[in-house]
Amino acid sequence: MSEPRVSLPAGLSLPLAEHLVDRALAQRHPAWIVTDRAGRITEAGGELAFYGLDDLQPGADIRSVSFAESVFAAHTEPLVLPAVRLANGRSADLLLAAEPEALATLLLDADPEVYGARPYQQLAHELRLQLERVAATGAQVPEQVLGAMDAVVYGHGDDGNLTLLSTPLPWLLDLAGRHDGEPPALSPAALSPFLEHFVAEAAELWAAGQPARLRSGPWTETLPDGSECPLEATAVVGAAGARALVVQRLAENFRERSAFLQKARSTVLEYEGLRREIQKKELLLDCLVHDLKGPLSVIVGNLSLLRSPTLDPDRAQGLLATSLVHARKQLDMIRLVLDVFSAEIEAMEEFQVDPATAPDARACVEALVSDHGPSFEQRGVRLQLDAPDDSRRLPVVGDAARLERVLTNLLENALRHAPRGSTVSVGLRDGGEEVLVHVEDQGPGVDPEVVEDLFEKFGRGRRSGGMAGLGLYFCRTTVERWGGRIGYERAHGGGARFWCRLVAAQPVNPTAPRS
Amino acid sequence: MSVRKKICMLGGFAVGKTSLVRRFVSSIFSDTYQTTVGVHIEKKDVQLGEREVTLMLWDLHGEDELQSVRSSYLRGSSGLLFVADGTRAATLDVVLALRQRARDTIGDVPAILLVNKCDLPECELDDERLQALQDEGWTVLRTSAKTGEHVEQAFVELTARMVAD
Ligand SMILES: Nc1nc2c(ncn2[C@@H]2O[C@H](COP(=O)(O)OP(=O)(O)O)[C@@H](O)[C@H]2O)c(=O)[nH]1
Ligand SMILES: [Mg+2]
Repeated sequence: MSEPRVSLPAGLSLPLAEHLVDRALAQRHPAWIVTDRAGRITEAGGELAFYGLDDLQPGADIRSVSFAESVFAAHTEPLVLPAVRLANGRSADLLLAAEPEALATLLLDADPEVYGARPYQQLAHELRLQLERVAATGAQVPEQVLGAMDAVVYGHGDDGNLTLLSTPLPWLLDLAGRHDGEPPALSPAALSPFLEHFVAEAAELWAAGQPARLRSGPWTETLPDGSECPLEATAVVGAAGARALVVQRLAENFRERSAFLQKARSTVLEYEGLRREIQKKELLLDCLVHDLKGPLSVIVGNLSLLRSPTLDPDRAQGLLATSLVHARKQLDMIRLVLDVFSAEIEAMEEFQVDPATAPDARACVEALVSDHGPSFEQRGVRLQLDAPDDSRRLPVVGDAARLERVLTNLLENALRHAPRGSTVSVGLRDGGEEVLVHVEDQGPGVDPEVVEDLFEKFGRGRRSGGMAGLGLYFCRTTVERWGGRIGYERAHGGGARFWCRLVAAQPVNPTAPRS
Repeated sequence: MSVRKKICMLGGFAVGKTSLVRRFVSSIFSDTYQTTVGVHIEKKDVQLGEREVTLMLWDLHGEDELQSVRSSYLRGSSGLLFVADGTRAATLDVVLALRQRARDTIGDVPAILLVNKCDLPECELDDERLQALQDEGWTVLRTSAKTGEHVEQAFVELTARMVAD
């Protein structure tokens, strides 16, 4: 009689040491049936004919086999069932082993003549101990670890197929959805279009077979109950060339990361909102200043008239009365302004004339050019600084933050009109009593029709309501408040050139009147 | 018979990508901002004359300095919806950068630029600016996930172009 040798079914790491099988099977007729968790036969082999089971087909339900009906239900852990009588009259010992994704039944003929002298009980006992030990160490530990990590593992076979190696966790089954009778489709492609996409991306890595790892980045699935399930997949090739796909449900760290991103982004949104709000208010303030001037002109006019020696008392009373009305009106406005914008008013009035504390035009321009460089680059526009090659400070009368905003406005304006591939240059010149800054683009230049109104509030040719229309107005009022000038001219190349003359901050002369 | 087509939503953060998909797929809108981390895929069947198209809408997280969109997500896309926030001009720059990245990764596929939140009065992207983009070849639609304006139209028009290709 030839020595039967059992090699374990391909793709299944039956937790039964091969030498043990060899020993136990030396004189017997081994046959095996492997099923998936749903009881469908995935593999059947060995000497099935010996047991009258040679017509078993993969795909059939194991419960259709007479002996298996009762066995299958109990089949959750390694187990030996002695001398089970089969339909063809033979008896077999059934060795049952539970795998994460599969159930294996090994049939060994229990004919006492075949192994007569060997006490059956002892063999059964030995097998059971072995099985339990293997189950306790080899199979269960990684399984538990995976479970604790909320992860499942697929093995990547040579045929390119992915086979689930670990116990399907509840979320995986939820994801697969429940279909009556049918076992759930657990292949990655069937589970999620994202995973399908990722598996395609990872194919290259698995094909290369070099130790490597590719992460999918997080994605979110909506489970049938409506809850969100954040997941991340990793394709790996291990040191020994083992290829696998790990799918993990993200928990704590994902929530933390989401919360962090949420916070950061909300803050940016708030900041942007505030900045816009401040810009709006500043413009509003400019308008208010103009409005405040109105009543004051009336009062000044009336007071001049009141100085006249020939004025009759009734007329004088009248002038005083209108003056009072206008003075009160102005006071009301000022109160309102103070209430609403007091903080900004202070900031607006404060600007530096002392060279020691005045803003440095050079530092400001240099910082702007380097800050805006990347966003220009993104639009395919080069931003270039054109400044004398020394590092002397160029202090100018003004306020650093607002100066930066004025120049930012000019820069953004230039970027709006600069064609791709062109250059915007920012120039800086020391003109002694003044410092000249200019921003020049290679765009189409400003339409001659609108040049005149360019720096007016809602200048013609610009859509009202947009900040762009008000930006230049803001620049002019701000620069003029510091005693400077701002203007536009056509650049040599035809583009737009905005210039800005800022008053150089001089050492304060205590006797000279401050303008 | 239904064909499956993939569309990616691309744009800066909080421009309304998730809201647009939600509006289109399930006709809902929420004012609370919940940032998207990672990818979320939604499905929607669109009937185009005789043809039925199953859209796989990839809602990617917003691009910013904290998270950047992985180019590999773009593979297999039949169309792209770029989204800018009409009240934040800077979000258009993000769109332009993303379009370049998309071109480098998957070449030219049908795309539409949505200037979202058009229900809000603050507007930083004026008609002039959008005209300039149209002159460059963009199809531009002003949308609102809040009111639903042009949302359906945007998806359907893009789908029609994807199928025509
Ligand atoms: N008013 C208005 N708000 C919108 C619109 N679309 C989105 N939002 C809001 O903008 C914020 C960001 O939207 P979200 O869809 O999460 O943006 P995403 O980061 O691009 O996915 C949320 O607070 C939304 O409620 C819109 O069309 N109009
Ligand atoms: Mg989102």
